[in-house]
This record gives sequence, structure tokens and C-alpha cells, in this order.
Amino acid sequence: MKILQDALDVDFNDNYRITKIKENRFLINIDKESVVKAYTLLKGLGYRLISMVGMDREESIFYIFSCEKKVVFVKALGNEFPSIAEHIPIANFYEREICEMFGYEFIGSPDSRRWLLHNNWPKGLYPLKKDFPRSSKVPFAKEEYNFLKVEGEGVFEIPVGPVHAGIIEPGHFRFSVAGEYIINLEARLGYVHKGLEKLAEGMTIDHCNILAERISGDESFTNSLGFSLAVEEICGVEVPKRAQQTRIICAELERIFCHAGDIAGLCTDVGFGFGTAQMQLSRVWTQQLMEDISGNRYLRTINKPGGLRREVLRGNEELIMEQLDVIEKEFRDTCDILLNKSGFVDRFVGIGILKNQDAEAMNAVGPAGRGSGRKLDVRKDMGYSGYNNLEISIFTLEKGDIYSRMVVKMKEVGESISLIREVLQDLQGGEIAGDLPEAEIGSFGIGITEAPRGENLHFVMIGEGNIIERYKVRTSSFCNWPALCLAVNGNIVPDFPLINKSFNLSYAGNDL
Amino acid sequence: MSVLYFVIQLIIAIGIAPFLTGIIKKLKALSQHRIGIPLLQPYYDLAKLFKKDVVRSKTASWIYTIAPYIYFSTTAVACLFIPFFTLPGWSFKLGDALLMAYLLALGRFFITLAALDTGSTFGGMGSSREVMVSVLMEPALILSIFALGSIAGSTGFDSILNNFVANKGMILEPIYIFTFIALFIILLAETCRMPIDDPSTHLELTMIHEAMILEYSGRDLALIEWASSIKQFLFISILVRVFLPFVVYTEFGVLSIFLSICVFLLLTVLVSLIVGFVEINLAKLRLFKISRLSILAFTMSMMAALTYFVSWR
Repeated sequence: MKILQDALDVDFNDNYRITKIKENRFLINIDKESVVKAYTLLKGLGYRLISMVGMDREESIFYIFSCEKKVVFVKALGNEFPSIAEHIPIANFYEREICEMFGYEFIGSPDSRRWLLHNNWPKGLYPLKKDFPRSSKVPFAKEEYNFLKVEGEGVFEIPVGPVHAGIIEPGHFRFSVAGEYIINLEARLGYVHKGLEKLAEGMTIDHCNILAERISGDESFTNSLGFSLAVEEICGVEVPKRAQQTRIICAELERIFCHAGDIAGLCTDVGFGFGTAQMQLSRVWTQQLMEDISGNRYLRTINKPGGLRREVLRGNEELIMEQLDVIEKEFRDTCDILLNKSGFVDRFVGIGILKNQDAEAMNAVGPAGRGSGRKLDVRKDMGYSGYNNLEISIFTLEKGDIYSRMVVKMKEVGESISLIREVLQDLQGGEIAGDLPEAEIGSFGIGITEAPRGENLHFVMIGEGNIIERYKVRTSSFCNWPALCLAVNGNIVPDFPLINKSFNLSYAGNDL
Repeated sequence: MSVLYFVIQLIIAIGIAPFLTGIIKKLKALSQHRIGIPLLQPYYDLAKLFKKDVVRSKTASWIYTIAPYIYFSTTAVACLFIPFFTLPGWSFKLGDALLMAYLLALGRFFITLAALDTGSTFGGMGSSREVMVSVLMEPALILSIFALGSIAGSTGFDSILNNFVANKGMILEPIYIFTFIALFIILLAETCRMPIDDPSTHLELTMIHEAMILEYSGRDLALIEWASSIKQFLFISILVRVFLPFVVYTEFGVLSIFLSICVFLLLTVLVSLIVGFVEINLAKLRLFKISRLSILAFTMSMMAALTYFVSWR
């Protein structure tokens, strides 16, 4: 706080107010005019922008920055802000989202087209405004979205989706190509926008936890964990040790099955059936283990704010150990075979390169960021839920191609398995949940977790009657989609599915 | 007599072809711990497709309508150029192998045109890729035919075969090994199998052959699928007949014909298993690296031709 305060004193004179909300959580109130200045200042101190949250009760925006354990909320009042997209490109996507949800203007924004709400949504209707009733019938606007035009001789556009040949979620991709080479890719998402943030408003905390579990299928547990962390931070409760350990085990199991599934997908896309079958085996075994211990293949209904809803580890310690051995052996052996298969590896090396500077610009997180040399892992940085007691090694590769992302995932599975073993050997007894005191009106908190795809962020503000006043989720997919579009440019069209699969982003997690 | 011969040939080609597709699929499934589809599934699929309605794009022209028929008929007729079974003393003039190659090219020409006809994106991409692959593979195919033909003195498969039967034990000559490798690669490319094209993929952006026929449905699709398996059968039977020309001869004419056909079919199954095995072991090539495979095929056929001029005469 001292460093922060000193730096602010130099640049801002008295035009700011800094308060320490909690351990490692700071709130800085500034004028909206000095947003850019605040960004530059925090960036200079090593902070990165992780999200922007619009507010309506009091027209304002929270710019959320983080640096290792510390999180800084920069609050600026108003409904017209200077755009910071020029300094950090990912901000443009936050700004577009806030613009369509709240109607706040961003001056100097390089791109003010719609992002998640499509152009069928009429102008002037802002769904996250408090005076917008949830049950409103919204008329069709039927306006066109202007894709970025690439012009020149021999340049064609390829529209793909939103309905695809495989059974996957909907998303539209607009390629501008010259021959097979991709000049520009624009992803148009938002087809599964559910109005989740609006839905959460007015929910009780326990109810909203169920909603959080359903944000994105394969990140059910981590999302619920993120929400719980936010609420626990607001209420200032410490979760019992056993609950923390259970949470780690569940989150790591989720990581194993997601990563194995991702690698299986890569094998499918290059038509290497053996790899697919083997990796799916690891994935399904993990899911079966999850089902055996909890009765749910996606680890739902285990977690709740304050601890656990039910005990899942008792009597299952042996089973988990045994199954992990089986899964580890199968996974390791398959990885060895795959990485030694030249024709297989050849498809991934040097393809779909996400440059480090692009990864920084888009705040690419998770394996996508680590494959591009960003040493970011919330488990280590934040040390939430008892991760600070564990020795976690972060694997990074510099090149940023498909191969890097794949190898990072392979390594992380091994790391997850050893983390689970470590936790199991040191399992504590005791309570699994503590009481949750009523939260102060207007208090807010943030839960940041490392989901299999990367950093997920849950911002919760509690209102009157201990219900949710504002719930903002920013999943890793939100940042990684724009990063994917950058990684694709310059590659050939038939390699796009591979690059896409190497990120394996969630549509549901983006279109909240 | 010769009419009967052609009828039998056609029945074998059209009837057995989907079975080989089934065998390859089954082998792939077994390699992945799956039970897989029944061996006869390709027939069920064809029957299903024939029952379904045909949906045709309103903007498509007559080319789109006739392309499946041309593709099917040219492929089926091309099968008549290869004697699936012969007996000593028989000599039918079956026609030139070059004609066969260009009959196949005719069918492909119409399918690529039809894919462009509907104006869909994937059709266009599929066509351009298909033409690229065929352009890359054509020199190797023609050169292989020349290499084989120069020994036999004619580029008809009947002469090539007769020459073979007459000189047993030539199978280990370098010229045959070279052409075998070349023709095997051409088989994989022409029938859109791995590592050139993944026949089971659902990714429209990576497809080659499948992208071209995305718009087709019902009977039209059935004809194309069927023709594709016939084409595969044709290339497999070239490998069988040219490189494994076993002749079964008994005193009874009908029995020996029957036995010859059985042996031939067994050998096609064997070659399909090899194709399946290769497919299991390979990941799909990058689109722009297909040219390297075609270079290999071309080099092999070139070596075969050179071997002939250096050592044979």
C-alpha cells in the first residue's frame, strides 16, 4: 500500500482516495478523466488489468487490476469515460460489453461495435441497468453487424458457423483469406448469451452458487469455487482446512479431465484415432472417479460459499490414489507415444503462434498464456484455498505455438496428479463448512481461480437483504477468444480447427 | 462371352466395394478399443440414403444434378479396364490404362464443378484442394502406368497382367517395388484417405473430398459415396492384380473362375487391411505438405521408369 500511495501522490496530487478494504485488496477512487493516468501508473507498478465491471446503482466502473496477491479496484464515477483500449487492447472488449449492457460511452474507443448482444438487440435498451425489468419483451432490431473488411485482389471471405458440422457450441467465424492463407479472422460470439449476470441479481447467495456452477459445463467446480471465494472474502470467513483440501482435489481433478479432453481433441483433429481413444480413456477414467466419489461427473453440488455442501473424500482416499496411478500411467505412456510420433508433432510445431506481446495485449491466461511465455498461474500468485501451502511449479514455453500449449497441458496434468497426492497424504479432519455471517450492504469481493482454461474472475457485490446486487464473471475464455483470433492470422484455413482446439475455449463461458 | 465377363466384373466391383470400406472402418475401430460398426454398415448407409429425399439447391444448375451420375458411371466403367480374374489362354482386349485414368478424371471434373455450382464456401474450398491433390498426383500415376506398360509393351492392364503371368518371379524386381510404392501413395491420395484427407472428419475447414459433397443429400449422396468406394476398390484391385497376380486353374472352367474370384477378393481384403493399418499409424498431413508425398510417389515412379531403360532392355 505504501508504494501504491507514494506513486499516486506523485501523479495525482490529492485527486484520489485510497482505502484498504481487506488484506491485499485496495480501492482507489479517482476522477473519470484520470483513468488513463491510473492505468499507466498501475501498469508501471507491475499490475495488469484483469477486468472492468460496470455498475448502475451508482453510475460507475470498477477497473480491476491485480499483481500477485494484490487486487486493486479503481473506481471512477460517471457514464462517459476515456477509452484505455489504445494502451491495452483487451480493454476494448470490456468497454464494448459495458457499452451495450449499461450504455456508458467510451471516448476514443477504436471499435464500438456490439460484442455479446447482437445487432438484433435494439439501441437504447441496456439490460444490466436496474430499471430494465428481467421479463421485458425485446423487439427485433434487424441491424447489420459490420465485419472488418479486407480488400484486395483475390481476397475472399469465408463465413463459418454459427452452426458447425460437429456437435459443438455456436459461434460465427469470418475469415478473410487469400488462397488458403488467413489474413484476418473475426470471431462473432454471443449466440448463447443467457443474461446470466442479470439473472443473478436478486438471488440469494446459495442460489447464485448453483447458477455459478452452471456457467460452463467443464468448469463447474472452479466457477463455483470462484464465486464462493468472492462471497467468503466479503463475509470475512476462513474456510475449514478440510474443505480447502477437498476443493483443491476437486479443482485438480477437473483440470486433469479437461486437459486430457483437449489433447484428445487435438488427436481427433489430425485424424490420429489412437491418440483420441487413449486420451479419452484418461478423461473418462477421471470423470468416473469424480462420479464415484461425488455422484456427479462434473463435480456439481459439492461446493458452497463457506465450505462444502457434503463430504466427498471420506472413505474414498484409497480409491483416488489407486485410480490416479492408473490414469497417470495411461496418460504418461500416451504422451510419450504422441510426442515421439513425428507426423503428429509436425502438425503442431510452428503453427498458430500467439506472440508474447499479443498474449500480453489480450491478457491471454491459462495454458494459452503460459505457452506464450507468460508466467501466470493464479494458484501460485494468489495462493487461494490453501494452494499457498503447496509447492506448485508453473510450466511455461516461449514459442506460443500449438505444440507449446499442448505440452504445457501435458505437464500440468502430471503436476495436478502430484498435487492431489500431496494433499491426500496430509488430509485434515474436522468441519467441512463454517457459518456465513450476513454481509454488509454494498460490500464487494472478488474470487479469482485458475480454471483449466486459465484465470476465472468472479466479482460479487451484496445488496440489501443479503442478496446479490451485482455479479460479474469474466472467464478465461473472454480474454482468450481475442487472443485466438490473433494467433490464427497468417496460418492456413485447414489449420484453424487445430489452433482453435489447442485453445479449446468455452462459448458458454464467454456469452454470459 | 465377353459381355458376360464384363457383367461379372461390374457386379463384383459395384457389389464388393462398400464392403472394403467397412473393413477399413472396422480395423480402425478395433485399434481404438471400439467394437465399431458392423462390416455391412456401408450397405445399410447406402440403403438409407437411397430412401431419403433429395434436397437440391435452387441456385444450382444441371451440372449439380448430373454430376453424381457421371461420377458413378465413369468410376464403374473404369473398373472394366482391370481384369479381376483371368484364366490361361484368355485374352480380352480391355482397353488402355490411360483411358481408365482419364475416365476417373472426368468423374472428378464433374464433381469439382458441381461443388462450385452451389456457390457454398466449403464446396469451393473442397474443389480447389481436390484439384490441387489430383494435379500433384497425376504425373506419378501416368508415369507408373508407363513404367509398367513399357515392360509389357502396351499400357493395357490385360497385357501388363499377361506379361506378369508369363514371367513368374518378377515380383521382386526393383521396378515393381518402385511402382508398388508409387501406386500405393496414389491409392491413398485418389481415395481421399489418410494422411491426405481424413474421411471421418467433421471439420468442414480441413476437408477435401467431404467438403465438395457437403451439399449433396439422399440418392445423390448415396451415388457419390458408392462411387467413392468403387474408386477405392478399383485402386486396391490394381495393386492386387498387378503385384499379386495369382491364378487358380482347375480342370473345370466354372470352378476355376469361382476360385480365382475368391482368391482375388481375399487379396483385396488383405490390401484394405494394409490401407487401414497405414491409416491407423499416420496423422493427417498439413495441406501444403501433401506435395512432399506426391514428390515421393513421383520419384518412385520415375525410378521405376529409369530402371526399365537402364536394365530391362
